[in-house]
Amino acid sequence: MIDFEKELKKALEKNGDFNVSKSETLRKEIVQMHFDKKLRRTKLFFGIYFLLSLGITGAGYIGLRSATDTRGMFLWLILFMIGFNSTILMKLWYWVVNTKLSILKEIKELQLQIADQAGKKLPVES
Amino acid sequence: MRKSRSQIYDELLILKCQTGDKAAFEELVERWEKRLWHYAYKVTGSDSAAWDIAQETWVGIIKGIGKLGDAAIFPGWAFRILNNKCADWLRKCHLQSRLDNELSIQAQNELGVKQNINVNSELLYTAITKLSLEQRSLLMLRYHEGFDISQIAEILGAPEGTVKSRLHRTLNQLRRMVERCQND
Repeated sequence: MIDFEKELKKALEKNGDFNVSKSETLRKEIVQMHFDKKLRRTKLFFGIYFLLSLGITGAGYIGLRSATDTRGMFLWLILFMIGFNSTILMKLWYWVVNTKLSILKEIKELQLQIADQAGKKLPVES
Repeated sequence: MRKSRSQIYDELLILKCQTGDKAAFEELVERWEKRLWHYAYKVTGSDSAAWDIAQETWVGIIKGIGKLGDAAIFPGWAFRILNNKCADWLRKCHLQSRLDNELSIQAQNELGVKQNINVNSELLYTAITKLSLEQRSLLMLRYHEGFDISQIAEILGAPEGTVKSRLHRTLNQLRRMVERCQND
């Protein structure tokens, strides 16, 4: 790196006054207001989706039991199948995402351990 | 390419955040907030704006972190959000030219306080504040954050060739500004 670039790096490193107490307040606000809010919203979304799927399944089942003609039975059966499959799909998707994330987490933890070991000096053999 | 321990740890925190781990998110914010704030401060030149932009950036990060496919791209992605927020802020205020004047006054005042830095650094510091948002962003990303050209191109949404030529032009402009100041 040439001198000018080194000087430039030095000039850019000069910090403004980073207010630590303000940063703590901001951090709490971000975590409590936005992160928690998003988690609640996600849970609510899945709750509604699950209830809706259950509702469709239930309605399909009741309709199927009470239908008298073949065409009606067939339509109620389709509705029942859609509701039933959507609950299964949701659970399957949740399982796939969770498994993927937990595997990735394990890999990262292993990489961390390797990086830690690589950073340590090996004992000198006598 | 071998990753540092810190990079791997950040990636682990991001994965934990994606599973809804509040403590991990808090730690991620703690590890990154100063970097993001510093960038916003350097680009906008305003302390309060930097805090607002940093907060808005974190909200953007919260919204999108679940959809982030690869945790390794987090730095570039976060800086892209931050850079867009900085650009939005400047656009909203229509203050580019006024801001440049304010910044140069502010920089002059700060120079009076900071006496233990050498002349070249001082001149550079003043000259940087006179550059445009785009040029300041480029310099910060390249020389402060240490991103390579391809990463900067991704953050700024411009082709690599354009980034290279802009960076070259900015460095030349900065050199000329410093030389002019030294001659005065």
